[in-house]
Amino acid sequence: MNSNFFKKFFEYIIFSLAILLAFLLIFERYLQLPELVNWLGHFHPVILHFPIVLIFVTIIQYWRGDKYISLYIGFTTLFTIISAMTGLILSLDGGAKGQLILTHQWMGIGCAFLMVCWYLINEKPNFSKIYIKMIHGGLMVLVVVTGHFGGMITHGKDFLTYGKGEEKDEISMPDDPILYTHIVQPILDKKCVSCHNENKSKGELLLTGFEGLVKGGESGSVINQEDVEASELLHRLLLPTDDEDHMPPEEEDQLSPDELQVLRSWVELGANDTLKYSQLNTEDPLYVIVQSKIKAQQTKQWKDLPEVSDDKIADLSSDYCHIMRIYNQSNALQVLVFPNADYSPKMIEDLKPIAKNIIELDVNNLPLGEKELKTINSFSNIERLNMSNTPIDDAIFRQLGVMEKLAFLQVYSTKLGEGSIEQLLSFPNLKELYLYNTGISAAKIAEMAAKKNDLVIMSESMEAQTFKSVLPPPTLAPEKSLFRDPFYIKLEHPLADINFNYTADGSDPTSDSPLIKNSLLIDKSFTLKYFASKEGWDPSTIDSVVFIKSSRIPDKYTLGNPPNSKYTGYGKSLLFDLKRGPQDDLTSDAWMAFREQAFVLNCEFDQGIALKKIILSSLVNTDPYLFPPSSIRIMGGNDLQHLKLLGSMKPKPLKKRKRRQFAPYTIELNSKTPVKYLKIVAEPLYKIPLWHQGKGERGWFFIDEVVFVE
Amino acid sequence: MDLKDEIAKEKLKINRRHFFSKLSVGLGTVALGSLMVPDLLKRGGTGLDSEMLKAGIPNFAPKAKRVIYLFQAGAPSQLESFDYKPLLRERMGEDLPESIRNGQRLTGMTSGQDSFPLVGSFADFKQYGQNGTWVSDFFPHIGKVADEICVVNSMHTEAINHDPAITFFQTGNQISGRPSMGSWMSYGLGSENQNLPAFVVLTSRGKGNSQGLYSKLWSSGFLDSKHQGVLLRSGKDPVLYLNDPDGVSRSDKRVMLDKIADLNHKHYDEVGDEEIHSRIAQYEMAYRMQMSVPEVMDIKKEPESIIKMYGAEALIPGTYAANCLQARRLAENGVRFIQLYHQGWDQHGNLPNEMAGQAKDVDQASAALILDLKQRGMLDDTLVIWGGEFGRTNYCQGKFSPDNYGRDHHPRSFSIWMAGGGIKKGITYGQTDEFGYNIVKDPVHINDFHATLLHLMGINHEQLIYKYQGRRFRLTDVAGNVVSGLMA
Repeated sequence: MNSNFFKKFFEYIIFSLAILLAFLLIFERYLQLPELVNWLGHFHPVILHFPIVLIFVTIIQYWRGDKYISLYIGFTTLFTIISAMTGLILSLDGGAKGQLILTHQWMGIGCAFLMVCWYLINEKPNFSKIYIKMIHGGLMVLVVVTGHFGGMITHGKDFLTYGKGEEKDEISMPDDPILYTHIVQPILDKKCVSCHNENKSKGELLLTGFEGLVKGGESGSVINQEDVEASELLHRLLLPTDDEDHMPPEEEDQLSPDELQVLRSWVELGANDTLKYSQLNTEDPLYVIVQSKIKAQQTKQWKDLPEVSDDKIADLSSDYCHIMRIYNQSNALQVLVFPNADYSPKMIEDLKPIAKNIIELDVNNLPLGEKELKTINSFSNIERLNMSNTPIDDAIFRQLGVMEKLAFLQVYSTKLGEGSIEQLLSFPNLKELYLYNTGISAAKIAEMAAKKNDLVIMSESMEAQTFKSVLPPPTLAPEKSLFRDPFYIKLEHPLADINFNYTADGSDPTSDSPLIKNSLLIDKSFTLKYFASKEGWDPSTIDSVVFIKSSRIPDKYTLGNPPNSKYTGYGKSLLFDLKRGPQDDLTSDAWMAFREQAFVLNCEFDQGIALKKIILSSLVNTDPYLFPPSSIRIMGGNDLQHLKLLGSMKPKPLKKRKRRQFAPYTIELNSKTPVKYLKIVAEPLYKIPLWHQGKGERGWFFIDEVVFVE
Repeated sequence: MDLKDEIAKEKLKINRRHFFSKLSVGLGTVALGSLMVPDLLKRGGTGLDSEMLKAGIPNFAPKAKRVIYLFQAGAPSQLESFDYKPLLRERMGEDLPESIRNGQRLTGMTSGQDSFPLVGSFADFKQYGQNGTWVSDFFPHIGKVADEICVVNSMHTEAINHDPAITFFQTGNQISGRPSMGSWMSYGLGSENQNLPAFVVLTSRGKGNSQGLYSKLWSSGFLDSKHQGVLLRSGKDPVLYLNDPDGVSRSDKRVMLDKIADLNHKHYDEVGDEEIHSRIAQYEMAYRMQMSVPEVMDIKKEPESIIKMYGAEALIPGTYAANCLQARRLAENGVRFIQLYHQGWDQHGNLPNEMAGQAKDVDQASAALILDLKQRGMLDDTLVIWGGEFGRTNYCQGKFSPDNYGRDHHPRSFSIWMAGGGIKKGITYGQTDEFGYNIVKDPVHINDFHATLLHLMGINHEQLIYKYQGRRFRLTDVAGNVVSGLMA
């Protein structure tokens, strides 16, 4: 009873489905299917695999004499019909059917028909086996062909064509591309056509050609000149990705911002199929995008270069030879060789294994000779070559021969002369040539440019020659302004051939003032003023230095108070060693410093001395609390017990921050009579003024030298 | 527990059972992932590692091979340099209309001010070049090269104070810790010259009010420390501790380095820390730099005409002019990213005076650098950038008088210029309103600027990625659009 029930059950189901299928086929064009049924259609790609396998298995099992064969046939028939039905429903969902879909459809129906036939024949055992064989043959052929067409619909027509996948985007781009043909359509081809083609025109929109765009889809034209953004084409693309109506569908490859920009600009510009790149305004974003595509196209000329492996690059590279691909996965190489102690022409020869791959070579700064240039000549694909700052001259350069592909040559700062002009002009593709700082004159360069008008030659920048510059002031050597014995000074300058004018009388020097030739004898106290001048330069500012001849050192001297223990210098004799303490190093042993106690210096002269002035050389820098002293007093006399005040000064208190600066305090003495004893007292500042962070504290007094002037 | 124990234990953690149990979870995750993210396992798709740039090679043929960034630290006023606003002179002293300021936050320095008197430029402006680029009289030399440069008047940033702003400019983030631009380039493109750092920093300081510069600005952040910027100092020792101490010969040094490398390799075998390899590489580079750096830094070989072009200050080490000349020499020697900083542009007060001085420091040398690169054929593959970290307000800070005034920080619009390396020549990009306060056309955000910079160097900014602490970082992080209008 059970097997009978199943048999009946199958029979009814198969029968009713077959009727339904026939009904669908006949009334296809009048049908408006409910959403749910439409959705069932989406199962076609899942279900279709069952009958494909089942048909083959059933055929095999039939000939092996399986006892459950009728069950097999029943199942297979059922799935074949369901598969055909879902396929039909799916095809109704997608707009007009292309030839491909129609073929696939009728073949699928054919399969279902043959299966039903077999099912019916199988019930009648006295039927000739010859019919069964025919049905089997037909089924096998149909399954293979239907499957193949189905595959073409989903994966594209040339899915199975060998080796074609990569070359699709290789439409060659002319120098002046037509926007529609070369830019817009390739985008549509890449991102849209898989659903909007002759076979599968979703929304009845064909995007395979210009006519389709103009004609539009079921909702009319997709391009709206009045309101560009409302154009269906752009509107759909610009919707947020998660919007139902967004195109391409969320799961598909989306358009890049550049591609979107292209489509938008193209529509804005009138969406026609004749507009060319050269007609674009250079400000248009489209211009830039197209330009970069043209450039990308140009780099493809490196496609034919021989393969070079990463290992080979690593092998040939060293600390002084850098080899890199010009961009990812390209065989075009950029090579830089750097100067080093072990350099020999072999370094260049070693590059021979990649001779054809070198597109850019930079050998600037190397001691290049004939050998290297001969080798470089064999690197026949070089487009950019830099041989600047090298010792090449006309004779060496001759070895380079003619470089066919060379477009960009830098030979600045070399000994190249007019002997190379002809050779330079013989490079057929040379576009830019840099001859700055070579032996080729401006006149010759102009001649060259006239002979080859697509060649840009750069030499000394004309604008730069209008730049003027002020000479820096010279420096003095030795750097010494206090002296006891006469000495010579020299003026030094980083530039050669400088004139130094000077005066010794305190007036400002002019170009008529005397010149310092080699050196100048300093044998008395005076103010030297000087400046530097040179043809073609603005003269330097006037600098001055005050030379002071220190006449005597006391025969005996003692410090009344010891200096602060942190800054004692190397001892009291630092006060008379004529060496200045460095401004930037307070801990130097040329400085001594006082804070809590006053600086007191007692001097004794064997012979009486009549002084005009005394100079205390000090330093001011308010950041580390170095202030001028409160007062300086000089006392003197011939009786140690009764010294008289000979002179004093109170330096002006500081009202604001003062950065590091030498501060010489000169005390004029009003006594003309010689004295044997002198006492110098300098009181560090008692109270730092209120504006300073250390207000109320004592200031520091730093001293490095005491000078007596007779 | 110290780090070493930790690492040693970490190694022991993986045994056969762990391996299989992890493998099963791993495979499950991959399977699930491939279901949820359909492109996960697709080759060359929008996947993870496949998207990361193969270090050291551009994605596409680059327009610029190197960058010289003339950073004007402290933020020079755009209104006295490149953004010409005659209206400000006409309405000198009038209050800035609230409709223009529109709620822009103020710094603590002007938030107490009860009026915002508009103040026009002290310097006059002239038009230069074929396209009539406006340049102020503070920068006559830059005016002369107007046909080579592209002035961008529509830069904007988010930061309003120096440190976050300059950090943002240098690292793409206001908070420090991310790698600097130069480090990203070094990471993405590698070094051309293995004997010099790929990323070099030179600093100088003008007499104007200046703000601090910290080495974090040229730090490599989470990238390998070999990508860090190297500060070259002026004077005898461009790189500190680079020279051998007295009595140590170069061959002794070689022997020493080999021994240290042995020890380091052993250490690496034990703990497996990648930074050890960086360390070894850096010792080696320092060894080679002992020869190459003094060679590059020695400007004595420069002909006098070059010195004259940059200005005599180029002879004084440590000046902006000297650094510009140095930058060209470094560029000639294969350094990828040369970063100059010139301090002293923070003119909150005394602007006319201070800015004149600052401009004098940089004007001639910057223009000379452009021309010098051009006459050597290096301008078309060297990108030169000039600019500060933000702009300055169109109203006066502090006491107002037409010839002595100050300007506060202004993030909403400012000007920079760029030249060479794939940048359009002689144009002015972007526009601000007639008050010079808000951008009205073609704004360029710092992220866009970074994206464009990387693009010119042949890098897709979305693909220059480094994974750190469980997430992927980019210089542009999650933003940035390449500004095609700037590119030739």
